[in-house]
Amino acid sequence: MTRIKRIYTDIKNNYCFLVFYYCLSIIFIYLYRTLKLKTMRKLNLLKTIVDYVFILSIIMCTLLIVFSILLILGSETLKIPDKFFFNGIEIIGIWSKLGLTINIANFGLTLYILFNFKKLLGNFKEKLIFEIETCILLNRIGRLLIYSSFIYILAEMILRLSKNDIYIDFGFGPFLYLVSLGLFFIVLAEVFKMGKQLKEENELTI
Amino acid sequence: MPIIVNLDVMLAKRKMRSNELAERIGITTANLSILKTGKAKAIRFSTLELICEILECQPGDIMEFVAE
Repeated sequence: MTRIKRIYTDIKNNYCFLVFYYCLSIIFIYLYRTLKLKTMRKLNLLKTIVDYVFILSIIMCTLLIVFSILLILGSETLKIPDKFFFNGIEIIGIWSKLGLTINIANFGLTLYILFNFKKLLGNFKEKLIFEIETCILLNRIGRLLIYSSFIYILAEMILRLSKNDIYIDFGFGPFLYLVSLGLFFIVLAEVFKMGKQLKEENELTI
Repeated sequence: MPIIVNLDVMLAKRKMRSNELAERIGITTANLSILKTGKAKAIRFSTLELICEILECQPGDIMEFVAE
């Protein structure tokens, strides 16, 4: 019993250290950037966080893709157990594996959205604000977020079907959240298009 | 645009070069060429005033309305 307790506290301490290092590294990168640039500090902070999450997600995504390929290839040859837990979901049978694979693909899509967001922030940093590229990026992010939400609901449905546990929730879940975020980005693209027109008009006034 | 800018006609009449006009108004030659080619979407009254003052003419002399 004491041994289990000690392992538990060890994990807890390590986890705390991990979080601590995570925060510390973000602060260091942020400080390094803000020392170089005096203006647009909030944008720099946001870009730092997005870059950090993006790099970590790339590592995670490669691992997950390898894992999903192993899942598809079959469990007998590669010694993957028939029943295991992943992210709190019990994985048994082909349907739940399919659901998991779709979820992993969705993660890849999210990574692409993050990449576009990174590019958008880079554009803002270069002061390319009311330009056609920015409008295209915003529109793309919005559309991809909506696709991602639909893929999410599909995967969720497959996972529920595999467990014979079918229900519909009408609350403000991740689906509605993602759809409204995507629509917001599309609206933002329209607003930026209007801004671009105003800017052109202002430039062509002699 | 149905409004046509005849600034080069007036410049020829006054025997003035567009570089000189741009310098005296205080705008860049690029902006003046935008005005001359008809790409401009609007003109400030202050700019119009200066052009009329320097070329000694009326706004009607450098602009014309032609129905499309």
